[in-house]
Amino acid sequence: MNRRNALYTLAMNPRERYPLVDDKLKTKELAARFAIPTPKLLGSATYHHELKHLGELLAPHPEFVIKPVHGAMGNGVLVVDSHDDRRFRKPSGAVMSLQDVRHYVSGIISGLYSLGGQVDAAMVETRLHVHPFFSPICALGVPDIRVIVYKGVPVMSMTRLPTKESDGRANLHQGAIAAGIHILTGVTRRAVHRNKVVQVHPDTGHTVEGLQIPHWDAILRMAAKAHDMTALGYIGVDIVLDRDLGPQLLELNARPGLSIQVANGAGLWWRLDAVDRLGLSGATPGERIEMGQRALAPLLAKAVKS
Amino acid sequence: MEYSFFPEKRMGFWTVSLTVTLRGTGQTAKVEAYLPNFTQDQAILDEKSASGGLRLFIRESGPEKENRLAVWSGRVQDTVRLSHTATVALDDETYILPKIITRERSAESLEPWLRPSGTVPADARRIRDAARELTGPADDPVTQVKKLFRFVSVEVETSGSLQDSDALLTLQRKRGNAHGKAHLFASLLRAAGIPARVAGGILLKEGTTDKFHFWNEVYLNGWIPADATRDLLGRATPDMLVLRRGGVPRVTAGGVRAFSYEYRVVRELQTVVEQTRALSAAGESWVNRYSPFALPLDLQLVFRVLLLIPMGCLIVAVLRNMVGINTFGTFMPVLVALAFLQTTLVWGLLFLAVIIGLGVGARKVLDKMYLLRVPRLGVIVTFVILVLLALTIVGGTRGIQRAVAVGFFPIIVMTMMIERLVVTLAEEGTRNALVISGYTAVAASVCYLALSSEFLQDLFFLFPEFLLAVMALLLLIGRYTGYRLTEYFRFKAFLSSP
Repeated sequence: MNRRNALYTLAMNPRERYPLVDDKLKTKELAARFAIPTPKLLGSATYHHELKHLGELLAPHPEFVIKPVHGAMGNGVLVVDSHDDRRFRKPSGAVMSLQDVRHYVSGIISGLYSLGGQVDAAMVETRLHVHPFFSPICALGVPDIRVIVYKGVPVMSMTRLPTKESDGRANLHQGAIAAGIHILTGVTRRAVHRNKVVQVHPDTGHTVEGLQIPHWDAILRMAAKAHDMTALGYIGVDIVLDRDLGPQLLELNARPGLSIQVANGAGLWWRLDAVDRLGLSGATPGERIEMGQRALAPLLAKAVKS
Repeated sequence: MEYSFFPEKRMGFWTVSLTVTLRGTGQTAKVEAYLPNFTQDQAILDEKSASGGLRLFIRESGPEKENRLAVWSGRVQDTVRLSHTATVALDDETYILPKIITRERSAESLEPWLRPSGTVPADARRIRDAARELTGPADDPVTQVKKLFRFVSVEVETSGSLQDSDALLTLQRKRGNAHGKAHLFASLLRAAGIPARVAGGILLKEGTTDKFHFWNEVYLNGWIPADATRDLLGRATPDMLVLRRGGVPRVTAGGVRAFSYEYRVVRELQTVVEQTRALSAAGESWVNRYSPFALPLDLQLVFRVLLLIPMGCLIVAVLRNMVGINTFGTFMPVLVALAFLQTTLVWGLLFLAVIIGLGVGARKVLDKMYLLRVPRLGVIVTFVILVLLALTIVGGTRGIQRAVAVGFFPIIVMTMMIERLVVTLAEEGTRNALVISGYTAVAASVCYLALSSEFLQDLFFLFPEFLLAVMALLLLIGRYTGYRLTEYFRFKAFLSSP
């Protein structure tokens, strides 16, 4: 971890760019400028007095998600899948009143779920729908795909699959499982659950290994473009594959965790080193992906053999 | 709230709207159309549909589920209008042709792209022979692709005719349109054992169209685009919208008496950035609500041009009052420039020259007949239009057909020119008339350069307030009492004399 922090996070990620990534609204704006699709923003609330109009803001949208703008690790997310202006239904079946929702958003604004506990803002987004590929390996919630992008080259990837234990959240610390993804082909590998290797999903019993993630090329391209957006050298890009609109950028991380190595059963350092030897200046996202694939292919072939 | 005056470097943001008009029989009708889908080079930022009371169902289609098909169904009594609008972002991307294959794919998954079909006759003897002749036995896949591409792109002539759509005929005659070339290229590649498919979509340009463009995707480590009509191998340009990978994106309707469709394309200026910013700020500002972007797409297209006319007037005012050249009428150069926007500068000037020549010639002939002015003009106009018709039929080349097929507007503008020309010919003589024609052409060209500038188009559309600045400048020029540039030349004699 020290090496990650010293050589990579500190060296490659200028501190002043962190807000671009920590503030989800700024990330969305930036993504729009670079033509990277994100879940559509329906509205936001920064001050308590705006809560008066919350009902009007939410009325035209049958389903939506409310999140803290500066949230971390998926905390503070409220999903509503149907409502009738008075009663808001969550996927779990629980019902909240408009008063309850206002209270919840008030909590977000007060900083209950934000990084560092500072005062925050709340944003309302369209709800993404799980792509049918994931149904056999995800009982509830929305799985995501994380790609570590170093100097604009995708180097390692995993998919985080929520479980009943994690309450539908794709949070590994809360019990979701992580399956490594072969960076070149998009085929899943073994999975880990709380640092123990598993072959099947604990809820559905379906095997997790050997599945081909659909539209892998488009996902890699989006991850590579995310580097151009932020000019950060070492980032974790979280992408959700929506049933209708395809890959959507969920969020970016300037300090991605290292459990991705465990999920892939491979070390990250060798790959970062391989990328360091490439001449990448002026390359387009597509070119960087192709160069990265050429550089990483021998490493992955070796791993399979051993 | 900041709006940048200079639109960000755009990769190709467009709004594409498909409208289908149906006339029903009272029975259940069904309409199918391919919708823009996301790919590596294409992202859908927003979409909405208006289904006119019919049920809409969108499903994935194709062996790799790579396409999206919209199916509308329901009872249609009289006339129903369906529409689907998508905001898309297209990348400008160059693909590196891989030297080594790093990703293996199973033979079964690539099988649909290797097998011959009715429109991709990879097993036809002529195709197999051609593939063998054009490539060497020891060539690696990338070299084979390059050689076959060069053949279809360069050695096969590109035509605009609907007759040249078949792959085998294209090979035989060495002439094909986009459809023919794409199907020929796919056939040759499959015959050489390289997975390939036809991609169908639209080449995006502001305006309306119902014409599809066709190119190919070749599988080498991933799907690589290749356009044999525009000679682009391994290049995705920000105007290539894919609607269907693997076939023709036909819009079909069943159970109806009649149907028609068109695609309307607008370059998206107020990008999703502005919209996001507006939503992030508390409350929606009135500037957004009362902007030209609230107008329906076809009105937007009209206004984009209208808003530039004052700029044209300003240019003509400067040229006439400050530089001192003389033109046919005050508006003529601007109108001619607007016509040039449709015919492009070179063809427009050629057009103009032809008309001026014919006008002068016809008048010489008719002079002897001592006709009244109005009937004489009528005769000249009829003559010019007949000549144009003859040219179009005999010419048959892409350029002339395109220049004339743009519609009434340029023809009307040119006939107005003829009237002014004939009057000037009568009143001031041939030499003067030709000089003024020349000046008008120059003024029109300068106006054209300004009107066709995308930067100015964007500027006036985003900030119509600039028209007030144009008006202010015009007011200033209205009070200009200084010399005109040409006066320095005309009256040089006075300056140099003691």
